[in-house]
Amino acid sequence: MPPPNTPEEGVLPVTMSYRRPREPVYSRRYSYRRTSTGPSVSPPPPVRLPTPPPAPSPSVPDAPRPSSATRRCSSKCQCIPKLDYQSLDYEVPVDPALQCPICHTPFHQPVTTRTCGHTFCSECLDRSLETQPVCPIDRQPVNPSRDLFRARVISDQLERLKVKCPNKGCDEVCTRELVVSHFDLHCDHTLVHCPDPFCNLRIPRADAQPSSGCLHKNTPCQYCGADVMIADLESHYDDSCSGHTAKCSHCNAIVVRHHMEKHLAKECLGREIHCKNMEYGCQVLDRRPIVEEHERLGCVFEAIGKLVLQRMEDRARIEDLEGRLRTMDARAQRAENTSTSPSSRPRMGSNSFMPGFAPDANIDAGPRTPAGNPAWRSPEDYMLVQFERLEAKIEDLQKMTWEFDGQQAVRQLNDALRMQEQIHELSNRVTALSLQVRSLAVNAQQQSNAQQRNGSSGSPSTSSSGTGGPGTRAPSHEDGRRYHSNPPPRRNSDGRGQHPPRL
Amino acid sequence: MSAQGQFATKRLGKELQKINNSLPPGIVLVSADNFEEWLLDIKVLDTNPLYTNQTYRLKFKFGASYPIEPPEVVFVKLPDRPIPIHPHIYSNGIICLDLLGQQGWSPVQNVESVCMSLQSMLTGNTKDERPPGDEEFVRANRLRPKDIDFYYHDNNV
Repeated sequence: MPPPNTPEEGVLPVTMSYRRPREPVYSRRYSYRRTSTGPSVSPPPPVRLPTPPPAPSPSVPDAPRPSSATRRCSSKCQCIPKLDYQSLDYEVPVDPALQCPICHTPFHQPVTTRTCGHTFCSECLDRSLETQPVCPIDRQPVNPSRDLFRARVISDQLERLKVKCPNKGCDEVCTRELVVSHFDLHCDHTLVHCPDPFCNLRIPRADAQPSSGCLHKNTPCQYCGADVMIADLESHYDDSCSGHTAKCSHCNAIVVRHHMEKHLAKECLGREIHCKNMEYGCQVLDRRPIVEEHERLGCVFEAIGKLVLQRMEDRARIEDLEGRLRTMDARAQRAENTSTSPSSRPRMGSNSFMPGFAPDANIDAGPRTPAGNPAWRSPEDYMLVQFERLEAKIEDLQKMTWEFDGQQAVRQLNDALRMQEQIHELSNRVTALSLQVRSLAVNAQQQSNAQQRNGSSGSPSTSSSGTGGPGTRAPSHEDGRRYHSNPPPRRNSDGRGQHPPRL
Repeated sequence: MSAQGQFATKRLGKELQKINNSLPPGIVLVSADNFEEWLLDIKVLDTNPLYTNQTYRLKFKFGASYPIEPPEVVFVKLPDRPIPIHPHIYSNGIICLDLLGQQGWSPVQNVESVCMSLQSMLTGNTKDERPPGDEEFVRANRLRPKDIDFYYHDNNV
């Protein structure tokens, strides 16, 4: 039994003779039309097989190539072979209940029968219904257009399973949902079209660089002289090249020629090599085991090597510090020059009003004589000086603003206090006035009450001051007892009734 | 290889994987060197006197359209592997079983289930006889088992 993920098994052949009645989305997206002409209708040889197939005829340089008119698709079309779900390798074994009883692999685009509720891959069931329109499990009649539905919960569950990329050599593991895009768009091992528009063969995506051109041309092997396709050279060197091994001249080991350099650099036991501390003065030159032993026991020059490295570090640091010191010196000198020069910046006093806006001679003084001032050796220096001045000025302005702010706040506080006092005083007065008014009102009422009482006991006509209230008429047709029990409301002449307005 | 052939190969690969892991009692895989022809041995486990202490060799032949189409299953006669006596099994090993015909087959069947069906077919048999017209059939038949139009005359056995 072949290994499960060899390329020839993991990828469907490019020519699909089988047609399904209902095409699912994926197959429509990546359907692959077969070439009409040319000798290359056979599926492309898988790359990096242990034994490369005999060179196919289209790769022979003088074989007739299909014209560009028969090219299957535009250069942008990738035409990637369809991902074969049946060959996917799942990271953990899948529950048998989630496997199609026809293909014995986890469901791909599962469909369920309405009549009996059995689930199959849509592709598998379609194949089965072609021969017999019945459910493969219990033989209930099934109409493909009516009696099937997709149970989302099953496919959702399956799409979450972790699978390995079907490409040989790719270690990617992702959910089944994502493996399609990985395979179609990202995997470097997916076989895509050769970048050469005249070549019908396929090549792993990583090798399909337009700059490298077509790798399906044959080239004579540098060791055995056989014609080998460039894309297959690596595997040819490793396996089938008749002159692929050679004897190492130092250790007599049989080595694949292609890896001879690596062997000499890393493995060969017979070749003399230097101690790794050679550049620090170690003179040891011997075969690898001896040198390794020497290094393991501790080469004296190792300490020296460390010292040398440290010294190099120190030197770099010293150089760095020296450079900084130079710049500091230059700045100090410049500062000195600026302070002694006649156009030095005057200190701005905080007692003068807005000194920052006074006509500033020292800013304008600079540009006129930049070359004349020894402190300004370059325009940058000049700009730097100006910057410093401006900065100082801004600082002064800031300080002044703060002072003004403070003064303003104090003044506002004083004003507010005064106002508050006045308001307080006024409110006191108002309270006193209202008290007075109330006492007056009470007095007035008492007076009027007293008058009324006098009027009812004596002559009622004398009580009123001519307003003509009910009190003047009532005694004419009612007896006096009624007034005693229920005195009528009275209105005073000044408009104040029994309830004086409150303040 | 056609897409159908690939489908068959993959399905058989899965089956082989499962068979290598475990098989029901009385069924042994003899050889499965390719995905076209497998050999299995079956035994009847109960004490049916017709089949006690006997082992029978089965030959499965898979077409490119397996499992949509049934495999061709026959008993093979070897010195130590006789053809079981049964009213549905001809003496040349051809089996008359609706499960193995176009009509009775279903793609959910597999090698293991076919073996188990044959086991139970033998277990349930009590008649020590060959199908009617066995000699005639064995002498005259040149057809492959799948092309024979069996008449399932007896559904009780």
